[in-house]
Amino acid sequence: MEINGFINHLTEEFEDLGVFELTPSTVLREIPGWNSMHILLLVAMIDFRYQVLLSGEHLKMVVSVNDLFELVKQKQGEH
Amino acid sequence: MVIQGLTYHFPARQIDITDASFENKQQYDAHQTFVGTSTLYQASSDLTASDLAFNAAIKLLVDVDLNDIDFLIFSSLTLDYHAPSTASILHKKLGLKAACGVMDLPLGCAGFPMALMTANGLFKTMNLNRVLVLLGEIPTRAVHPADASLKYVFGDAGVAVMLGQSMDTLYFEFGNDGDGFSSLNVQRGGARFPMDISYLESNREFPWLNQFGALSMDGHGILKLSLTHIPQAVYSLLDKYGLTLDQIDHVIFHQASNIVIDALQRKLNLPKEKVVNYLADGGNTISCGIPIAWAKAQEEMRFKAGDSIMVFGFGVGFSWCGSILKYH
Repeated sequence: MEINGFINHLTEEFEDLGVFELTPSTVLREIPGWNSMHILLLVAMIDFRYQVLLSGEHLKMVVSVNDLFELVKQKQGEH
Repeated sequence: MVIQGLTYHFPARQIDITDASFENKQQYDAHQTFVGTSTLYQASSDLTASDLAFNAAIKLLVDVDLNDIDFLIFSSLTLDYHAPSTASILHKKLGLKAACGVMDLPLGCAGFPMALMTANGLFKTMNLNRVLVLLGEIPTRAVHPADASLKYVFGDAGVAVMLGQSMDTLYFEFGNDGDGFSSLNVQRGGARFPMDISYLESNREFPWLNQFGALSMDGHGILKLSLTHIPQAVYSLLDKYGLTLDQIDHVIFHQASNIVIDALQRKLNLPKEKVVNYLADGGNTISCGIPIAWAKAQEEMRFKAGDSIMVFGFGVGFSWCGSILKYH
């Protein structure tokens, strides 16, 4: 699992937010147009592509794209 | 068992959801993508869930001999009374015979398949002609106006379904995960948290919340429960029939929101055209959603004789129930 592939998957999900560039340091809540429902989109995508089902508790600690990437990697390792 | 007829009714007050309903266009676009509702219907304050079901029943029962109806099941989370059963009220109002049994099923989003399962059991154990399933829900009565996440999701509706005997054998897949309590509930108004004076006073401006209490939903929790339990339950159901998912022609999930339906469609690798979604007109109508989607697909001639239709209800509980019916 690599951060670039992960970012590509995130970008595909957020098509409705228009053109913007995601980097590892992008703060999710600061993406223009970010909405609480984008969290649900993230949860569904990560379950589908990475077989990790994140809870609200897990996501509380996530600020940046990289935090999310590291969390998914950690949860995959726990499988 | 077979579905012999199905009708639905929306109350007259129509709420159109437009970009003016939101702070900005982006919020509206997000609503369209994630929730998917364009029009909701709201029952006026003098109507109850049984009135909506009754109006659907009137359309269904034209030319039906009421003496053929041996059982009435009423599915609703917003019952007219604590006692007697609302099915009993409808039994009288429709003029059904005294030898017709009645039962309420206050089960929420899995209510329609659960009603099918109950009726199927009745048909199997007794020599019944017909079972009438009525469904009525008025969730708008339990939505706090300040709760923007719920305001444009839930709508009111009534449904009537006639069931009869047939050679079709039905199987059901069902289950429950009590951890779902915190994800979706209406806490006030029961024995655990009665409506005390401070609660009633807090709703001075929203008196409708004093009927059932306010609905509370954690969308993330519901999505997580859906993705945890439903795909597995779908495969278990298919096993019972000895079918694979590609042999199913149409899938009608609980009409919850686009995000839940789309996430399940993707996880199950279902072609999008097989997934029936009529959230746009009417929104999430709890147990009425699946049969309304069935009726609308039928109106649009999407079903043909012999098609296999999977219905899968899930939600509050967290409870689920599904089955596969042949279209006749």
